Amino acid sequence: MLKYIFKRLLVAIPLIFVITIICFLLIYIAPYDAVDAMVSPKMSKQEIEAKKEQAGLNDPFYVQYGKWFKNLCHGEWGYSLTSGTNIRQDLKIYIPNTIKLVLPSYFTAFFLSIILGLIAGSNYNKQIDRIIDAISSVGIAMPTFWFALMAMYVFGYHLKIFPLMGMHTIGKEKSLIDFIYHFTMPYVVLTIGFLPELVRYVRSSTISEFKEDYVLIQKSFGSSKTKILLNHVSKNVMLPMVTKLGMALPMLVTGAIITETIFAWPGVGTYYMKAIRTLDYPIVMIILVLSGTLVILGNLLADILYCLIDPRIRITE
Amino acid sequence: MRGKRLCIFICIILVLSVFSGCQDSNNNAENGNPKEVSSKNEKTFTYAVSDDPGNTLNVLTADDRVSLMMAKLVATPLYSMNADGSLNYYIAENLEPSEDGLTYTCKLKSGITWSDGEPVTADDVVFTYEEFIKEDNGQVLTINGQPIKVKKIDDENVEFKLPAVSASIKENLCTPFIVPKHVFEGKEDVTVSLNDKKIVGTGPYIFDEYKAGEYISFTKNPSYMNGEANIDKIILRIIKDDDTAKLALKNGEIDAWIGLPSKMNGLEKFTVTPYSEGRIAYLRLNRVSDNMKDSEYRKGIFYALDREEILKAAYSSMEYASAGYSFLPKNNSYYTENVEKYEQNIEKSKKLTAEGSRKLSLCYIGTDPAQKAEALVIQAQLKIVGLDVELNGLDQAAYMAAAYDNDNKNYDMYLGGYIMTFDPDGFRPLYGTGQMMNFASEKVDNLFEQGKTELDPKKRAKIYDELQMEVSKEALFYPFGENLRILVTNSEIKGIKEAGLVPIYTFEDMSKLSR
Repeated sequence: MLKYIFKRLLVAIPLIFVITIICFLLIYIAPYDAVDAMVSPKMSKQEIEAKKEQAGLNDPFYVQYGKWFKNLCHGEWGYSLTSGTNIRQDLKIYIPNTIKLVLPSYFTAFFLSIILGLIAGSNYNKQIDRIIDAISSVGIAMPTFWFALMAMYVFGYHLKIFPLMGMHTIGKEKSLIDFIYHFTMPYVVLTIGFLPELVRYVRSSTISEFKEDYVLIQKSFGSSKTKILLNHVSKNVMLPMVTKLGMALPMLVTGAIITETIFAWPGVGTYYMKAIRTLDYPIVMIILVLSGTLVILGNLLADILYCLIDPRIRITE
Repeated sequence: MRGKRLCIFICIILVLSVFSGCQDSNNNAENGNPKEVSSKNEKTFTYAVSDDPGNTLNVLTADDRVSLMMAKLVATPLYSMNADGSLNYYIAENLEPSEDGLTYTCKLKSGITWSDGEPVTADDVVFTYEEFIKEDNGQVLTINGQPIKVKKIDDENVEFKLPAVSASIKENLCTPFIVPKHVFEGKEDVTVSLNDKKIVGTGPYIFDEYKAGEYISFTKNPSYMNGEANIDKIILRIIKDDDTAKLALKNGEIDAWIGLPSKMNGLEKFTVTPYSEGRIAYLRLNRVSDNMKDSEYRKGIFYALDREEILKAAYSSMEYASAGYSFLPKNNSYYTENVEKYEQNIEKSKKLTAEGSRKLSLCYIGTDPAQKAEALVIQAQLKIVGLDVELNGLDQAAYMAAAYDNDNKNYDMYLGGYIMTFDPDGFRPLYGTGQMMNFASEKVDNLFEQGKTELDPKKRAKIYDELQMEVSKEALFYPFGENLRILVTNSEIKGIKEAGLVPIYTFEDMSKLSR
């Protein structure tokens, strides 16, 4: 197993390398660059050209990529081309803020979806199933930004139960209660954003499992429906959910862009979006490397968990 | 069994490795020294800004609104200029030109200190201008390719030597914010990290704290030259979504917000102050495009347009915009309406465009709701004279790359807007040959050259009258007019008039605000 993990991690390195080359190339061939995003009518053509030269944007692809890659190898994450800020310092603040929001929301949605999905799937075509399925369908169709604004209007503005925005009251950064007070609304919005798709996934897996022969055999042996659901079906439904969990890992970086924007949550999502819009490649590239690494780690994690949960699956080396 | 445990352990390590980056910053936040600055505090003014300026500030090169606003809070120039040409003196006591207009002598106010207690001297001024000229890429303080020379006469007097006469020099000289030599001497540049929590300046406020993605706070500077500020703390609150900002204002979480014309409903209880930044919204025709070679055809396009209708669509009503006819804003002392106005005349337009292309393309910034509305109205108005317009809404960066490329023939028309200097010479980077508007007129170039060196106000006014007429005659530039910036404040906020509303920075001197 250890050898397998080591091998997978080794394979991941050239994969990330290739991903970075492709992404860098795509940014390079765009007909505009980061300096164009900063241009104002007050700037003369000479000034713009000087800025491009200074940022190294006139260099050929291999020179620009080489410089970036060399810096990365030295642990240098570089500076934003548009604001000149230190990217490492920025991400050290933004990524934990996003994780604080996404992780609890996703886990809540994950566990709720298992419960709701199993209930719906095991009561296929009954009233409870129809209600859960209908609510999930509405949830999928409902834009997150709209729901966020509605929640903000009702609970923040109208009822004044929760603050409208931010992560803390200014000056109360140490207070956990203040954090929870600010956290509740974006957390609920994000949980509800994640939930419908997961519920439908668990529901359809449950329905499929109930059609399997082993369920029929259990029924013929006289097992109750609850016993079959809890002891047998749920275990099989959990297997693909493990993959979902692994694949959700990159969401820790870019999973809440809209919610972050609406609630002025100081996360990495809006930072990343701005960098993409302005072709600020040092930021885009480093976040790509991070989320690419998370995809690979997520896959690996899913594979390992698969082996641990399902004794039928064994890794052959 | 042992293998299984080992695998579980590895899984935990993998998960933990994902969160490892989180630890440092959490600790930093806990080790910080948070100050009680609740936005409900009576002596705090919270202003919503839509962008995070990042964790550094260079007051000499700052070019986005938020950074410039921060610079204006923590630093002061020698003086600043108003739209009518009058000066507000900060570090300078006066500025005297020599008879030949080649030397300007600036006397500094005595007794001014930096926020760290050190006195402000002529050495700081000389150091600032030398740094600025170095970082400016030869733009503002360069005349005919030669930089202005700055010399210390004594501790309270500085001399600016010009390589040639320049009528716009007064405005150009007040561009840099003065920086302390004793802090930056020997350093690569004057950039400061906001994480270091220390900026030495002479502004009405002292930088206090930067929280990435959340806010930037400032406390009043007790040694501010124009007297201690009325409000203790200024907080620039970063809110990227306009709907959130508006709700936050209504909820009392912020005190001021720059409103959008389309979102002004339900703000009756607030003080709404629309003011001019001298921003001109325009349609520009691409001279090099194959469809735009004929100037009569270009005039025909202009005659099809109704600028008021365009402004109404873009800015909801004429309450937030005013029609204009020149490339200069109306509050500019050289503004004239004695130009080709191209008032709508459908019959004339049909006649003039009859021989030209029937299909045109219009490029604009797709994320700008005002430009989107302008584009739709223009499309409809040109349809009336039989011209089909293809709309191309691009991202800001893509638009800038296309609009600044003077050889680009992909688009026939561009929408745009600009805020330039008070002095008309500052418009040369737009209308000079080879510059952004892609003019190629020797006469326009010559008039700009004459205007720059003419010191007699009457003669200068005549030159710029002729220049405005000439620009309109080229039929490449069609100004819609000015759109106003809308400041919405909590009704408790007083002293807006005293603080002065200015382009870009919003307030000329925030120390005058009160609540």
